[in-house]
Amino acid sequence: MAAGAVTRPISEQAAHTVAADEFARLVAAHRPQIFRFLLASTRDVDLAETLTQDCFLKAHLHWGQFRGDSTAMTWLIRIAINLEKDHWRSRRLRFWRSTQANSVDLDEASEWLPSGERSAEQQLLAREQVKKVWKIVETLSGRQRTVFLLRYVEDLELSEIALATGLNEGTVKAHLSRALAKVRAGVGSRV
Amino acid sequence: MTIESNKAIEAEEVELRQALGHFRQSVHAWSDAEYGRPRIVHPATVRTVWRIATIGALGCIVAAGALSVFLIEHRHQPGEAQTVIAPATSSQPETSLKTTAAKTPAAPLVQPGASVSDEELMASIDKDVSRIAPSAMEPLAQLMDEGEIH
Repeated sequence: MAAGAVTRPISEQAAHTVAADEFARLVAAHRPQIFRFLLASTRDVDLAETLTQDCFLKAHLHWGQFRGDSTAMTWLIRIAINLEKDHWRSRRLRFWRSTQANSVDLDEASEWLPSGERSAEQQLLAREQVKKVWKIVETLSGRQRTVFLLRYVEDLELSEIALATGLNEGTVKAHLSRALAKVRAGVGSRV
Repeated sequence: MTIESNKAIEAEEVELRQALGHFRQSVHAWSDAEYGRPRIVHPATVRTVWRIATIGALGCIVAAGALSVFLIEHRHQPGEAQTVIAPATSSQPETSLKTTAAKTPAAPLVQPGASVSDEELMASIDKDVSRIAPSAMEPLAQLMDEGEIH
């Protein structure tokens, strides 16, 4: 700022408007990504939609406390991870825990592939591979799955994953390496 | 390490990368499709109507129950009063006492038609209700005298 420049305080209403605009931009920019992460984590469209909604509601309530230590995306993913954990914890208390009526089965989840310019045979092969990866992802522990999805679906760096999960980078690497070893073994297997 | 094994590892690595790439594309495609899909919001009115109907039905049941209890209470009260009042009024016709007796199958407190005072009535009640408990060692023959054992 140039010496002698005068800064005028803005009114409370103007500050609110600025914050609301900023938050609206944040929602527009990151909502699809948060939804995608939650969809991959839960394989349940309705649940992913609800948790995404909750995530942005929570973010809106605490928007004033966001200090910018990490990127907004990392902060949002951290909220989403906590919401997902809370959801499973509360669900575990219920006796119908095992019923996952809304979650999409592996076959259906594996159907999704951009058609591109592949031949029918290539499409079939790709679908088989996707199905295998889904099968392995299902067997991963909660942390391994989160780290794996953030790395290979959301393309986050290890440092970003560490910030989002609250783990240190070494632990993230360890989880990722174990998850990848399982995926490698699963993909390599000829079933 | 031989060249063959190197090639095998390389091929495995390529396959893994390919699988991860396809998985990523698949999740993105699925998410994009679901994210863009218009949501069907079911109107809440159906649920509200059902809720109102249920509450209404339960309310009717409770009201009917309360009314029937009230009516039964009112129907029984004059009858009971008759039993007590009837002996006191000597002018009351004999038929009303008979109907009261018919309503209560238990042994009547007083003989129909007899006019008794309140004291006598209470005394007869006391006599009927209270009995001297026989001692454990009391011979049965004594009880038989009083007509207790038949």
